[in-house]
Amino acid sequence: MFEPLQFSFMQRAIITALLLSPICALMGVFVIARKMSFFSDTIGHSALAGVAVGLLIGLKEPLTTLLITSLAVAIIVFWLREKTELLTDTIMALMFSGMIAVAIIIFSFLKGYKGDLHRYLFGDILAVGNIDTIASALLFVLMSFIIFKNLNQFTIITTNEELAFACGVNVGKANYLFVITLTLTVALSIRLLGIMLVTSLLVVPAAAARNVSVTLRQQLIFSILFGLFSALAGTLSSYYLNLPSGPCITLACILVFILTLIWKKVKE
Amino acid sequence: MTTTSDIHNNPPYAIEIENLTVRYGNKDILKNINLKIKYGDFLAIIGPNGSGKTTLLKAILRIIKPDCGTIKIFGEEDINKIITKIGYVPQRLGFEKTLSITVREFLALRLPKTKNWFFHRFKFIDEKLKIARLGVTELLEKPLYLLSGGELQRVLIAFSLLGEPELLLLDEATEGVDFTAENLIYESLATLRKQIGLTVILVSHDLSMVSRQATNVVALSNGVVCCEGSPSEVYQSLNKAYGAHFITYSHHH
Ligand SMILES: Nc1ncnc2c1ncn2[C@@H]1O[C@H](COP(=O)(O)OP(=O)(O)O)[C@@H](O)[C@H]1O
Ligand SMILES: [Mg+2]
Repeated sequence: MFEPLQFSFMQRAIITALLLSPICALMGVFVIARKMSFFSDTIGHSALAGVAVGLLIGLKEPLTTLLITSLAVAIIVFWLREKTELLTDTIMALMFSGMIAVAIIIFSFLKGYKGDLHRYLFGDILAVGNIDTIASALLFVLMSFIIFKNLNQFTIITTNEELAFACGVNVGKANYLFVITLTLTVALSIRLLGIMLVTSLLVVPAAAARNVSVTLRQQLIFSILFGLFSALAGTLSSYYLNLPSGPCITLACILVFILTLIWKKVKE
Repeated sequence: MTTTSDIHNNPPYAIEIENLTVRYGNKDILKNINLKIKYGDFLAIIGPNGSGKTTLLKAILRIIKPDCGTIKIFGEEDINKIITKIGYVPQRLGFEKTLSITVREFLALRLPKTKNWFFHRFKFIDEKLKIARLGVTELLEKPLYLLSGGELQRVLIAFSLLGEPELLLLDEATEGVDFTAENLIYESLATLRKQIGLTVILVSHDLSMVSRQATNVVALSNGVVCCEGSPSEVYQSLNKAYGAHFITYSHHH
């Protein structure tokens, strides 16, 4: 059981998983409630273009370009949503496909990056470096602080934006803060989960928690617990089975989801 | 003689609206509206669907930015300075099934000085709800999305009252509410007006119900004020101009 912890790469991977999963799970509750899972997917997939650009300009660790691209895409989507008549879904579909197309074209210029592409698409615990762990730790502290400070605002804009406005909440500001928080969470989880599956740790634990809770407080607590469990179980099985970490964590999340569904049916 | 500071400390009206115009595209939704509402008044805004009632409330709240004109609430043009004194019950608000918040948690979001609802004990919600007398206490543990239309309206009114407003804006707040609940709502409003001098603006398309309490009525039609005065004055002049159907058309909707 503790054998994998001898390796420093596993220590890093597990610490990162344990730091990122509660933040993902917490944000996931609001992502589900606001129907923003496609938005998170768009940010995640756009990150591929960031990775491609990073490799193109010769960065060894394209975390910076990845973060910049994701933030830029998130802000553009949000800005277009507010300033134009375009439907949010349409805007996201445009960004989603456009950024993937750009990424693939850049990758086709870059020879010999197949391995990197694979790692970014599906997640790789071996790829979790010191920088990722430190970034995750910083994210953990920063996000916990932001979420704690703004939980009322995040909750109230989730219930209804006009009501939030009438309660004196600066809805525009709260929305941007929410989106930036979400983007950073998604972008930093990519190392662990991969671009293809990054939304799973965000959405599935929160959805599972929804099955077993009545109050929002319960949902937040269960979501964090399920997130922690799935991330840990997924990372360990990725080591034992020698598989990419993204699919392992995702399947762990889905297993939890199915169990909660059964529990709910049995209770009824 | 009044000095400037007198006026500032004690503005003569709770709300003063001058030359308010709101457009969507190049269509005027509200045209040159002028309204003055005294402290403690109960103003009913009536008018057919699409006449601009909701738009007027949203303009007062600056949810919609007016194209022309000024709106002063408690003598203040900057909405951010007085937004905490306003309660708002939007029209036909629905809550998504995707959010599993209970009535109790939802109400906690409106408590003044609530730091973080997650760590809140929610105790004094019960106290406050007893005062509001809207029959919300029995609903506290229910998920918000499961409430019936009438229950939801009562919860929304309770929500707005928990913010301890001095001005309350209600948009068709009694729509889909049964007779008993409607009475509860009107009684609660009457009590609050007596106790704290609450100023109320209520949008309705049923003049007969509103008449029992309203001190003033404004009738909107196609974005202009077509008639204003006491409930009986408005009733009579609308009756003369349009016949009875203007006043009772709510029953057809
Ligand atoms: N976002 C919008 N864009 C364009 N027109 C709108 C919008 N919202 C409302 N309207 C129009 O403004 C008019 C007034 O609407 P509203 O204030 O909701 O009326 P009421 O509340 O009296 O039924 C209607 O004709 C409606 O179609
Ligand atoms: Mg309306």
